[in-house]
Amino acid sequence: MRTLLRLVARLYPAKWRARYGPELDGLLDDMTPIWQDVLDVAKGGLQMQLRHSVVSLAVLFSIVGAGVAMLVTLTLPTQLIARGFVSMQPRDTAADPLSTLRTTTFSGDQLRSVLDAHNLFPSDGGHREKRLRDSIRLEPVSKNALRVSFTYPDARTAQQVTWELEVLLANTVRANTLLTNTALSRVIYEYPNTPPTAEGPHLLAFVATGLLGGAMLGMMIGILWQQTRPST
Amino acid sequence: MADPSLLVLASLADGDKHGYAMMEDIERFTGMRLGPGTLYGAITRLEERGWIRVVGADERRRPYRLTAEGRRHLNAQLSSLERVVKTGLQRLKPI
Repeated sequence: MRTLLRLVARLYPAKWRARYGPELDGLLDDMTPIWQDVLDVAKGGLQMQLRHSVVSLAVLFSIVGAGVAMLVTLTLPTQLIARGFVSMQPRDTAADPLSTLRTTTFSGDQLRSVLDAHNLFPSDGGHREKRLRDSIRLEPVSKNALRVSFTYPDARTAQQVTWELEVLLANTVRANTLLTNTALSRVIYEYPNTPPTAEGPHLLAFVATGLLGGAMLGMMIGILWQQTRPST
Repeated sequence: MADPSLLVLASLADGDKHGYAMMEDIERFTGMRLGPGTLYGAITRLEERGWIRVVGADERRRPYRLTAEGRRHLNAQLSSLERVVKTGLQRLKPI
């Protein structure tokens, strides 16, 4: 029991042990230890860590935070991004066929048809449509061309869905140009690439966030503890 | 229920004691056993506040002494407790 207690006493900060360690050892030699003393010494060690070292607490929490972040990245699905683009040449060079797309997005019906065709995000239940919207990016690359990106854990699905989104976009623009009598001379599709490597989750970004978050949490707990410790 | 720091101060009120002697003394006058972690937590806090100080050189059985400031603090705490005890006991008496 004494050996165990001496082992647990190592939880105290080194500075504290340098000052009180021999006395605590002497006390452990003199007294008859009981099992509750193990918990008592462990609690005392932790309290001294909190009182004596906000910095070491911050370091401890940041290490734990980084570890948790690393575990979280392992549980997250990989992110493969397929990219393609659609270019639309209007007959009238002054026309702006993409103008409507800058203010409108895919309709709910369009998204649901894509979701059902590929059984996308099956574990997201009622949030599948939102998840799909969040995974799509549309970036204008010129006055008449739009880059379409779609992020998904499976490369082949990412590629196919991106292609369907390109076609849906072109059809939307076509419908719009017919309504406004601005005919398109031609539409150029770029077939999306097969995503070569995963672009996320970003391990370094997650670990850095865990480190920083842990450090801040550790410092906050240390400071709060110091402010609320007993006055006598 | 009692504050371990107050118990240590009360134990040192009648003379210098090292850790084990305090532990035995406190058990004798309160019937409560302070664990080694609790005892040294209280000793650390009291020494930091200057209410007790080390006397003697034996680093394994270092005796502690109540300082003048520690004595004043103990006196104030006990007087306050005494008022609480008196009031509580009076109020418990049958009307």
